[in-house]
Amino acid sequence: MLEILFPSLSSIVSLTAIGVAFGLILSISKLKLKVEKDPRIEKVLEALPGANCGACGMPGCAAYATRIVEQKFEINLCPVGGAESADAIAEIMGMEKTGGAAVALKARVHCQGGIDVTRKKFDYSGPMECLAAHNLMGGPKMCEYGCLGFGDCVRSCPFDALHMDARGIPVVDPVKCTGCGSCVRACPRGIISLVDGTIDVLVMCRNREKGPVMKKGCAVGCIACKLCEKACREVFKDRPEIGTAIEIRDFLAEIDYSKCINCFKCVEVCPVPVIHPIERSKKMQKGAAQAQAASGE
Amino acid sequence: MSPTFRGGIHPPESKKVTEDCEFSNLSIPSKCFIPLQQHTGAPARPVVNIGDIVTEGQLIGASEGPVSANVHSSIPGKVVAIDTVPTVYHLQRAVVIEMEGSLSASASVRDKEDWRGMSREEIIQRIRDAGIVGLGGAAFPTAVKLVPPPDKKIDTLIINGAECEPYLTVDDVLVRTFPAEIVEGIQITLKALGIANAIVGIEDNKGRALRVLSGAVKGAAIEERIQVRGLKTKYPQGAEKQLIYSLLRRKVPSRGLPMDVGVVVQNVGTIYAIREAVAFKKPLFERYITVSGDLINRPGNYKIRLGMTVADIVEECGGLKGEPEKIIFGGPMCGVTVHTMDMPVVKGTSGILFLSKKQVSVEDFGPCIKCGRCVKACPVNLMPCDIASAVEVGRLDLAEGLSVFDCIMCGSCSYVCPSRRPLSHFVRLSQDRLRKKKK
Ligand code: SF4
Ligand code: SF4
Ligand code: SF4
Ligand code: SF4
Repeated sequence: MLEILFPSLSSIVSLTAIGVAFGLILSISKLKLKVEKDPRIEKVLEALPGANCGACGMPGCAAYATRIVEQKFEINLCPVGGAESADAIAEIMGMEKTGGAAVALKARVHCQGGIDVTRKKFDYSGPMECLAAHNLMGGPKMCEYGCLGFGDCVRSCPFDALHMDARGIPVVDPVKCTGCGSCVRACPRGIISLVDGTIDVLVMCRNREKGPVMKKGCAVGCIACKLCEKACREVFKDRPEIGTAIEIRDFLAEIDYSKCINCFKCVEVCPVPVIHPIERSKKMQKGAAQAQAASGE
Repeated sequence: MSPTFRGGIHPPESKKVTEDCEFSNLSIPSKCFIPLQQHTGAPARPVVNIGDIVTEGQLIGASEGPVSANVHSSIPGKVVAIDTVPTVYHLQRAVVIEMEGSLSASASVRDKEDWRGMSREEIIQRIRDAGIVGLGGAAFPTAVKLVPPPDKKIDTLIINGAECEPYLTVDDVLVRTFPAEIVEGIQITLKALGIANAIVGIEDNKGRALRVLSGAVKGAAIEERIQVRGLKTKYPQGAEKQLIYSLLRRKVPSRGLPMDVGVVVQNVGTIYAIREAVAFKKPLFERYITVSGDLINRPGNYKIRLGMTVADIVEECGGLKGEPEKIIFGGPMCGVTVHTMDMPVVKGTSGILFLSKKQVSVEDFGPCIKCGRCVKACPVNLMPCDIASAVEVGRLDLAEGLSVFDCIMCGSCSYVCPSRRPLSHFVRLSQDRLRKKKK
């Protein structure tokens, strides 16, 4: 009977014995050869958001956590976790709470040259990636500075905060964007930058050619007319130490965000308009008023 | 059988169109756009101002830094602008000169100087002053190539007359027209290098050039050892590393340079320019090019001034038969497709092709069908299919182990792929991505 039920009783017995023996060896060696790991690393790691985006400069959250515990590294380098993470880590480490990194940075796209307003240089049939297109004669668009629209940035974003719009320009979702900078590193054109999230004003152009050269490829680029700079100097006319927050350098308007007070004066005067939010420019408002009048009739 | 290398392809030669066209001069354009960078390395610094009157061959851009080259005016006239223009090396600053006054003595009228009495340094200085760069296409400053670092011993000069690109015949005609000059140019270059051994490699589809040059070498009765060797007609026979292997059976190490195996390679056009620079003190402001393709009315081999635009050349060559689908600077395999007729010809431009829709295929590419043709075609034994697939799915780690930096960008793989995959472009992308990652 027993033989029918357990046709190979001996093998069952021997395998069990082997299993028990190995189990014993393993559990003993685990006790004997234990590696001391600071339990705080685990805790710090839990306090971090776990996005592994690399914005702190480390290869991932675990590496950052280890460094914080072992080398007393700065604790407010994670823009994703922000103040919340930093404070939690401060508690674990018994350090003073310093809050998160100074300002929450958001990715902003410095180009508005979608396919509807730009001219093509040639038909492109290579790999559908911005880097590949960029390195082929400066890309298939006439403008050698603007967005190529193949979405290297979109693919690089670990938080799904970037999306291509119908014009072929990436749009940042400010709620999802953590300011990790993956897209900034991915873009071969250097079109995306991290900007103080509380400021809205943004020059949506990176073309450093003279107006006429730029115009050959794009209808909505900065023409370097300096109207914005003049308007800004007007704002700061009583504060000569500031002078202006927006300045034309190499035929391109650039904003110094340490000076900008978000007053939208430059936005209003830009004739193109190319300073975000363009709806607030005089040109667009006049257009909108006219449209309204037309529809009202 | 003529010596050769492994791999490679046999595209239609299309050389019949222009191979019997003797050189003729195109008339001198009234306006030239002379880019400040026509070479590998740093752009030259402009040394003229708007409104200046310049003479033919006057220095207008001085070389900046160790790897750079001088740029000279190709026509006498007035500098009307220093402006950004489209060039084969992206948007770039160029000196715009409008023709004014008369043409001064060009080199052939000047007295020939005795280069045998010059020292090596003197010869190299003349080459540097004249702004000579590799005229085969890569446009690497020649003076830099002729002064290898002291730990590299050079024993052989190889003259590249392979001209493996379809359509182009300019080197072929150059050798046939000026054999004695080429031989003298080789002697000068040998003296500059301080060696006495040169091999000229010419593909065996150019039998006439081979015969004429061998005859000239024999007839000249010189003490240097110059061999003229036929090579198997196969693309990319004219690629430096393949050429060295075919002629000397030496393998340039991965990511190395010809000088690592004791060789300096110069194109025949460069040799011709070296002779003019050294013996006649003539700066490089004109060159010979092939104008070909099925759409140009008068294809041929022409002497043109650098900075002349495509539009001017088309007008001089009898216009076009129709709307070109592609205009290519250089050959169809390695050349650069340009997007505007305002593009100026630069030092590295060996030809201009005007191709109709019939000659150009623009198709969407499909997935790899694992046929292995690209692997067979690759002259440096890469696996373009695997590299491309790895990059396509973002597995840079896989591409890294596939020696992507050995690619010589010959385009053979893209040419043979039945799935029309832009393989060499993918390999290039993998290089760019890896470089970016390292940063
Ligand atoms: S922003 Fe940069 S990475 Fe993104 S689609 Fe445009 S060019 Fe490509
Ligand atoms: S007003 Fe607009 S177009 Fe003029 S310089 Fe400023 S940003 Fe450029
Ligand atoms: S991988 Fe590079 S070297 Fe090999 S065939 Fe393709 S382009 Fe040529
Ligand atoms: S030639 Fe094209 S289809 Fe064939 S193996 Fe290579 S990549 Fe794949």
